[in-house]
Amino acid sequence: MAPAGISGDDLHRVRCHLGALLDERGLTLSELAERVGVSVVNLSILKNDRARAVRFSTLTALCDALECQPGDVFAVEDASPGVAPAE
Amino acid sequence: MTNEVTPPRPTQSRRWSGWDQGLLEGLLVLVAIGAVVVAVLFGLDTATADHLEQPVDLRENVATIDPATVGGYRLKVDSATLLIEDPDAGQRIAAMIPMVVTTLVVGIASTLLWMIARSIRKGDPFHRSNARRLMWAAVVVLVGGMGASVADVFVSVSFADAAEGLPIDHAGTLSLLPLPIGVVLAALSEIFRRGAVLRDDVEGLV
Repeated sequence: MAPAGISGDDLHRVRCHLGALLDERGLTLSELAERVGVSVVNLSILKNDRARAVRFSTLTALCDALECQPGDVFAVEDASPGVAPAE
Repeated sequence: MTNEVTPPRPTQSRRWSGWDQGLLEGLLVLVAIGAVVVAVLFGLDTATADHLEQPVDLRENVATIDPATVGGYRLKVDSATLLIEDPDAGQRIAAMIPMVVTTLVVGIASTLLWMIARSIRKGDPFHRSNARRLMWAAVVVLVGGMGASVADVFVSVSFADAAEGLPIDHAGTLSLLPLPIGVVLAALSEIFRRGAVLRDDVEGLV
C-alpha cells in the first residue's frame, strides 16, 4: 500500500538519463528511434520520465545503440525528505 | 557466423481490414435505422388499420374438418388468423406493444454495438466505456427482450380469450432467445472489462 500522499506512479523513483546520453553522443531522438526500432513517441515518453515500464528488448536495443549499460540509462533518485523508501 | 535463434514467426491469420470495419459499422447502422423504421411503420399500420390480425391455433375438432389427402400425404390444418374488426384504441395499443418493445431493444442494442465498433476503427477497443456499453446492451436485451416476449404471449392470450365462442387457442409462445444473447453480451462485457485492466497495465510500456 502506498504511503499517504503518494500515487501509484510516484512509487518508483527511476529516472531516465536518455536526454543527457543523446547530448553526449550528439544524437537526436529521431536518429536514436531509427537505430533502436522504437517510435519517437515512445522514446519521448521514456526520455521525459513518463514511461511506466520498459521491455528488456527495448533496453537492450538502447544500450547497443548508445554503447552503454542500463545503469547509464536509468538511475534511482534519492527519496525526498519525509518519504520513507519502499522496503 | 552468429548463433542467433530466430523466434518462430506467428501463424499468419487474416487481419481485420477497412472493408470488414465498414461492413460491421454499416450493418449495425442499418439494423438500428431499420428497427426505427419498422417500429414506425408497424405502429402507423396498427393505428390506422380497419382490422388487426392475430395468429391463433385451431382446436383439434376444427382441424380435422375437411382434411385433404393425396396418396400418402395429408393436409393438417391447425393454425389460422384471427381478425379483430374495428379495434378500439386499447386493442391497437396492445397489438403494438410487443413489436415496438422488440424494435426498441434491437435499436438500442445495435446502437451500443455500433459505438463499440467505432472504437475498433480507432484502434482502442479495450476501454471501460465499451465494457459498460456491453453491460447495458446485455441488460436491454435480457429485460427488454424477455419483456417483449412475455407481452407477446399476454396479448395473444388476451385476444384469443376475448374471441369467446371461436374454436381457437392462443398461438403465443414464450421466446427464450433473449436469454442466451443477453448472457453472451454480459460475458463480453466482462471480457472487455478485463481487457481494459490489461490495457491500463501496459499503458506507458516502452
